Amino acid sequence: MYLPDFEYYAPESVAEACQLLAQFGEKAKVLAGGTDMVVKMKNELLAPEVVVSVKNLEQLKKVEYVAGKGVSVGALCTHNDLVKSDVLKEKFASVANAARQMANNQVRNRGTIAGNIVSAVPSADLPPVLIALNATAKLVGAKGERTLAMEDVFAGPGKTVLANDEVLTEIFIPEQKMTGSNYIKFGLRKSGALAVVGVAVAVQVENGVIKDARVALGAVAATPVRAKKTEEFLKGKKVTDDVLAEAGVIASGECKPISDIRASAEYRTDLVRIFTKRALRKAVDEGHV
Amino acid sequence: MKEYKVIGKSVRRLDAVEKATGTAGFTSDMKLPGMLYGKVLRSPHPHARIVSIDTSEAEKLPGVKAVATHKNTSRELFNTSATMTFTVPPMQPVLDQYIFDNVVRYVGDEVAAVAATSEKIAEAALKLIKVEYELLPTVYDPKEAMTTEAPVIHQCEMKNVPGEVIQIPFGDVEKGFAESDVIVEKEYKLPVVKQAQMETQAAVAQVSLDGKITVWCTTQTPHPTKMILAKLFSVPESKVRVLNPPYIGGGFGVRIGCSAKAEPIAVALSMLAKKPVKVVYSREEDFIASDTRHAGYVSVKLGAKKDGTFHAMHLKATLNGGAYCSFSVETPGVLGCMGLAVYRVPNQFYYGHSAYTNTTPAGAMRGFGNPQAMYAIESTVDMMAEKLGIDPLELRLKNIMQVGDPWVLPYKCGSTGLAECIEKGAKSIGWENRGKLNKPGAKKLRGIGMGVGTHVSNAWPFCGDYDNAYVTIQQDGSVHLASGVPDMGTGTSTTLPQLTAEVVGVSLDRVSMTLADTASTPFDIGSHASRALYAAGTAVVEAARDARRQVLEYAADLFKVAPERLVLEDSVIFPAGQTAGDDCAGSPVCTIGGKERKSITLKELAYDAHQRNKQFIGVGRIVPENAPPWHAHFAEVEVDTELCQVRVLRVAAVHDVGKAIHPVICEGQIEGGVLQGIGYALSEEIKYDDRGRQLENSFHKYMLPTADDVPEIETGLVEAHEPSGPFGAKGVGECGLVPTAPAITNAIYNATGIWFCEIPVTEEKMFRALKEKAGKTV
Repeated sequence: MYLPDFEYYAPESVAEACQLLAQFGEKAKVLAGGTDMVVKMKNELLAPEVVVSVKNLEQLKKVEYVAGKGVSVGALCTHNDLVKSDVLKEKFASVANAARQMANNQVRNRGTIAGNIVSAVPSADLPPVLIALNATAKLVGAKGERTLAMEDVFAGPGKTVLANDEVLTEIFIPEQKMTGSNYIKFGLRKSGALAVVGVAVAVQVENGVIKDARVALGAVAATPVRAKKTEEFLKGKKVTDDVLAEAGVIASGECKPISDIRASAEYRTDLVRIFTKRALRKAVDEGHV
Repeated sequence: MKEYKVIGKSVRRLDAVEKATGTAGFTSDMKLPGMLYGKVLRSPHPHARIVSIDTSEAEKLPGVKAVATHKNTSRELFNTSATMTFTVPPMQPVLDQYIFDNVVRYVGDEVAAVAATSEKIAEAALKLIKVEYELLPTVYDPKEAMTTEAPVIHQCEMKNVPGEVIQIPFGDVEKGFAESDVIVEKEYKLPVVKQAQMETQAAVAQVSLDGKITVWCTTQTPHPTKMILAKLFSVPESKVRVLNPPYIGGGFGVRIGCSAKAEPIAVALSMLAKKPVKVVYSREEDFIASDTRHAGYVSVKLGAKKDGTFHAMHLKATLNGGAYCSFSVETPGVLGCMGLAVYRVPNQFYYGHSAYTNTTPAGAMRGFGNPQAMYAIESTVDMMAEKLGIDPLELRLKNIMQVGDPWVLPYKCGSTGLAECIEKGAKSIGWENRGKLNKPGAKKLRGIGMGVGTHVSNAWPFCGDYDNAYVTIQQDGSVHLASGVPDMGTGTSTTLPQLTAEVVGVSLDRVSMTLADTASTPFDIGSHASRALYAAGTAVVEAARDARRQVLEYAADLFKVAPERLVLEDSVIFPAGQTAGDDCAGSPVCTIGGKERKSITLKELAYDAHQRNKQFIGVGRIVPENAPPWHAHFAEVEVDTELCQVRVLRVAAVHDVGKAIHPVICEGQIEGGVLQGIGYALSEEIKYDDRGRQLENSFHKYMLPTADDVPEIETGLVEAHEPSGPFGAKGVGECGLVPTAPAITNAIYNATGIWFCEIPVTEEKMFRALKEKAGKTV
């Protein structure tokens, strides 16, 4: 239960951080809020020789509206920064709501958005809603930067496509044609529980017809996944209870959950069915993203 | 009715400021000069023989001061629970463990321990200890453990059954069933759950050069723990001091006796290292290597007449005792006695015991067998109600125990407010709406259920039991109380001073208490069995009366009247019939300091006595009786049949506490118990994998309800005066979770039509049950 010895750096700029990461390569790990990483280090699941803390990168701790384009979320915002952000509440309340459902208040005070994404835990609460809203992730490395669709960041449980020298700096949520979005998490208690299933949806409804839909599922595959068949099914359909129910059935066929101490694969699959239906209904009825 | 000045009022707790400001002392805060840190190497195997153990590399690590194994520590057999100090003859305590043994019997069992100058070094040293294991066959289920194929975990008269089978006959049960019109029979399966107290097991031991041992620790029973340690280390009890410093971060039964092995290991390491040693369990160690509640099987066969009169009941329990005995003999005893004590049933029989398995030892946990009994019994009573077509509430009112009824216990049913509890609770929950809450076709179904129960207010007759207390009037008339019971959060350090202040006749701010220290308090068996207020409180009242009597006798000499004529109120002594300071002519006067006075303060009197070389020292020495608290719980649940999830919307919990000495503390105890009961019913469980490893070993994985999960809890207090209790009080602490689980499962049945005979009713279980039900109806 004690941290192993490691070298510690706290760079003052993203460029400096990338340089350090390039220099130390696989020996180094980036430390943000530490709610996942420090626990893993104490439990001997992780023993980086070099820890690069990004805590001094103040410029990555802002939520800003870029007129006509969308909302930029600094990767080092904590979950509670998102919960409390007036910009998000106004523009993308579903993201603030998803952030509120993560872990417990103590962890939300400390855990960052970057950590929630880069840890690549399949049950993480933010990725599904960000995927549903077509958000992008900006990765800055020693040799330059690139922008990826959120769903392309993940490579497997605990794995992302980030190179050793890359840092996630920003999440960008674009202005939407979507008229509603929603994330529903199912945990075994109201607080301090991992998602057994998390379903995020975004829909564009006009005159009772679904023009566009995005559905993303958490905790039911190795990474957060899009339910593309479900999306295709929904496009052009009239909003009826039967259609939404049918969408749930299709989504439940698109996930590949495992059985663990929290729930069986069979139950998780069924929960995807229910939650897809409920999240769609909520997104349609509430009428805001 | 007498108007009380201090008791019956929810005064500010005397530990409130210290605890709210973080300055209250706990074992985990302790630091002594030169203190070392102890860490424990635990078995990764559920059952194995240690073929060899090599500690040489660990000993060489700089900073390591001692390494303890079965080779260099006490070979005295013992039992970490206090049962080894107060088992009543002819029963004998089961002594089945060493500090370290050459056989390990569960994952987490102690193999060795290291004392080092830092925790980090101690942990590093553990990794340098080389242990070679020979794996042995395993068994995890108590029923399987009793079969001929199962491995022997400890040699017992009956295969793997510690101690003896508890059998309680009452009337003629066979005849009773033959005469019954309706019989319901069911078996229930119960989970392993954990106390999950805030402060993990901890001890700091200091062994002086002249052989005196001092141990600051988290025990609920300092005096019995002193006896255990004295025996284990072969030192006179007079040379062992055990104390809390002075608080404990919760207990719920997990440290009645030693705090798992924190004390023995700290002492053993301190003896080897000749320095003070601190041992604090990690949460994972606390989960896997300190007593759990007993899991297992309870079956109930209930027979009734057509009119609903219960006529026969057979209760049977096979509990999972885990790898060592702890309280595995007493728990099935309490389970049976409490199970048979709630209803008037003329023909009853109980047969119960535990069985050893290769799992974490099971011991005491809030309710001590009673929640297991009442989940099974109260479920069966609801099944019976349905079969008879009688309202479950009416069926209970018809059959509950009444004052003076014969029952299986060796003390009287001296009071019961259960009928009032039921009536109040029913009103609070809206029982009349039961069955009318759901519209046809609704996918979220509501239901209301109830459960009732009783408990003890003390540990006798399940173990030996007595209490002592000192109440000493200080030279300035303030009052010092010394009692050996700890305050594990239950408010003992407030309520016992309340009793003292009330009896002596002073305000509460004049009273101070020393608690839970074997060197400065007389023997007391400790805080458990809902007994601290009832039993230790009886000793405190006795001691306070004794001190007051001495004060009044002394004052009587000064007033030249009989002591009975004098009153001591608000720290002033005056003759009865006149108010303090009243100058009415002809009343007796007291001559003190050469002046004549109509009244005298306790301060003046105590100092006068001091000048004449006298102190008033009240001694209370009592053997407590026992008394039944009663409780009725009602739960309203909502079952989301799509999500397969149960939410408890409301709980009404009404308790007959005898006399509420501090109503808010009573309510706090009840609310906490209700929440533990909700966890027991719906979410808490430690499961094992096929290699004997505990799957839930942290707060992250173990689904303890959080503050966010707390439903509306309406507590109610009923005060049925208990003649044997201090000011009529009875036990409260454990009762809150006794009837909670069945109130919830009965509500689930009311909502869904599904009986759950296995708890917790997790989402997964509901999912399977609803699927099965749908399959059947199709």
